[in-house]
Amino acid sequence: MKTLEEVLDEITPAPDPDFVADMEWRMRRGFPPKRKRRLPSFGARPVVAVAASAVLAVVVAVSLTGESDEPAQPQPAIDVAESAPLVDEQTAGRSVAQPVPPPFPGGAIAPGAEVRRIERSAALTLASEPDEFDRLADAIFRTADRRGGFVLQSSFNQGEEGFSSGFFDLRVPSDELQPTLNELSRLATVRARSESGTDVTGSFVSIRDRLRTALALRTSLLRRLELAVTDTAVRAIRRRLEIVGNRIGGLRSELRGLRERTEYASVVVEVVDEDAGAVAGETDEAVDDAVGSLEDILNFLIRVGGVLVPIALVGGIGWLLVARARRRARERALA
Amino acid sequence: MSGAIAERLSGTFERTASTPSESFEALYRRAFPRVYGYVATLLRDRSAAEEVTAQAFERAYRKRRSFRASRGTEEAWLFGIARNAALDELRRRKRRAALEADPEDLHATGPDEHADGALRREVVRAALGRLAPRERELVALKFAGGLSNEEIGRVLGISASNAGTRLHRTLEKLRRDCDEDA
Repeated sequence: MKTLEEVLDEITPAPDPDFVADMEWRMRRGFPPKRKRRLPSFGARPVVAVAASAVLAVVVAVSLTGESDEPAQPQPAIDVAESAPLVDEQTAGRSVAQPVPPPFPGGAIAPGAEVRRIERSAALTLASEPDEFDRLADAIFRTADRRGGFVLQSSFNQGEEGFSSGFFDLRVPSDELQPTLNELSRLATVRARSESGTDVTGSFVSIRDRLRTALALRTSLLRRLELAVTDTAVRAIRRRLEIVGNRIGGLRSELRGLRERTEYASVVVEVVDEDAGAVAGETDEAVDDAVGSLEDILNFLIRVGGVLVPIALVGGIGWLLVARARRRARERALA
Repeated sequence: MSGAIAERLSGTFERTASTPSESFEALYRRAFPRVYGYVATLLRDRSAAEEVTAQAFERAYRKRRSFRASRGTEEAWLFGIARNAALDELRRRKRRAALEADPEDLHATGPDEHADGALRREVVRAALGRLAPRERELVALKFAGGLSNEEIGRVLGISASNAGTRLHRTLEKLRRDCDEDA
């Protein structure tokens, strides 16, 4: 009698000869697809579509938020009550002074101004032989004098081997800036030169107008003081006069500072050792370039990683879930 | 040729032009009847078994470059593909009821068969039909597919020892069932 295993071998279904011949034919032709319909499956296409949408959304979001490298500047809160001048409304039939917004708040561009107020500054790096330093320092002082300016601050650094660097902070009339820079540039080898200008006309006009308004208010208050008959009214007007006086003082000081900054340009001159500066400068420049390049690459990789890593994680988790669901669904066929 | 190189060569199904490679052809010749037997035992439908077997070889041929010898034998890989195709077919056709019933077109008895042998086969078929689908699949992989316990484990995603234990219990159950019928 045959064993169970032998019987199990015997009852194994064998393929039909026609099917064997058909499969042989297909095998020789590389198994061309025969089926017209597809088995239902959790295809990868929905996952790919979702991932592509996510990539697109992230790219658009990054491009929209990354338009500028500069962080968004907070808008200065303008305290109208504080910055606006007090206007005596008595002439308008009211007895209460009310704040009105200034014509040009601080930082406005004042497009109609006839004279532009520009705050100018320049920086110059000169390279000199150590034994030429005294002559160069004298020449810088003389240049400032000749151009109607002055040296606000100066310092010298002395190393073990003698002079190593010097620093001069000059103030010259704004219209003398270019001749001064040209003259200074002829004194020694120019390593670096930069200039900048900031239009502060808006601030200037604003302060000036607020000052005029404050002065008018003071005149008005003085007139009211002459006409005041009660002690209470006199005290109230004097209190207001005191406040307006302080404000006038502050505005005048502010206007004076701004005028000085626009009438005199700042020139910073740095004097360095020609030899040490050359070698160190080139090396520093090369190191800076290398570090800059590495930083750029790192920033790029971080940005790319910031986009791809979450997508890959989500995609991987999604793929695992789909594969698991698919496997369970298959296994249920045998349950 | 070193063993590692030989394994690598046998583990990849290189092809030339549009003809299947010799290694895939060898696998086909070695495994085709067994894959069919396994699928037919699982589906218990001759035409569905033919369709799924053909589909399994198509898929295997298309994915032949994804085979990795380090993850099991070629047979285990091929039977895994065939199993997935068969289960997809089962799900699609919702043939669970049919799976648990004896098919009519698979085991026709020839007129010249010996009566005792035919009776014995019918008893075993009936007992096999009473097994749970998962148990019947184990028997199909072992006897129709001719796979080792390790290969069965690879196909089912379980360990070789677990596959051996389950198979032993299933055969014992089948043997008891056959003895009771006899």
